[in-house]
Amino acid sequence: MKHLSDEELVQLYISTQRNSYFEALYTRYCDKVYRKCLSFTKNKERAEDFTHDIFIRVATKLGSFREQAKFSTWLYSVTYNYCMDQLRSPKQKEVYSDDPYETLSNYAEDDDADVAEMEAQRLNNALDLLNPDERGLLMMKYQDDISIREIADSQQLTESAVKMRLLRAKDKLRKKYLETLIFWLLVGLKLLTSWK
Amino acid sequence: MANPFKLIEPEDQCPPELKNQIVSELDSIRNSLKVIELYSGDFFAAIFSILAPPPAAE
Repeated sequence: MKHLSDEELVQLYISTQRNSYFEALYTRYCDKVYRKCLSFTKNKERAEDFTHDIFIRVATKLGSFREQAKFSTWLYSVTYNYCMDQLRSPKQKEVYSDDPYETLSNYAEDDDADVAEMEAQRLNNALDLLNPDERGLLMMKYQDDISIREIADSQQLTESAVKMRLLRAKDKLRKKYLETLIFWLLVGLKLLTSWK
Repeated sequence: MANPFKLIEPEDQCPPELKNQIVSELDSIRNSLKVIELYSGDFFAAIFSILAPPPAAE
């Protein structure tokens, strides 16, 4: 079954309903999905529950996969949507439900240079300080290289709204990153002065 | 420069027992759907044919 593409496996599973085709897809992507869930939950048991629910959802929704995007992109979108839905607080749902002013489109790919300069461990700490929606958007864009168009489709947003949210999330990430950097610098200075 | 987002992904592996759980749950969903299909199709068709008035004798 190794010679079959993801999309061929999906078609074969839909037409035959044989578990072996779904199992092949599962084997290809279970670790990737589990790791994404773990990035969100920071808890192995919860990540396992999320992974279980995501694959059940994927199996029952495979008929709606349209092959406009790659299967992996579709699967990651389902994964991010599920994690963001589960971890979003009720208060945040209200804030994100409707924002009529999200049509400004001043997002530029050139701005991504500062993201590349961030140090991985501190970036991870700063990401933990963002809400699940912001974290999910940034991970879709920068970890999985999902295009703005595909993110917009999966989130049921316009492209300009996605750009705007990415811009905001990146600003917040940059701010949190600098805060953690300054915090550790101050701790270092304090230790140095107390040692003398 | 390497993308730091690619470096922060955990390296854990999905627990192996999860695959069997998911496959058996899919089987039970499929079986439940079959039962519903049988009931909504054949069972009700049989009831209606029993309840239908007999054809008038010539």
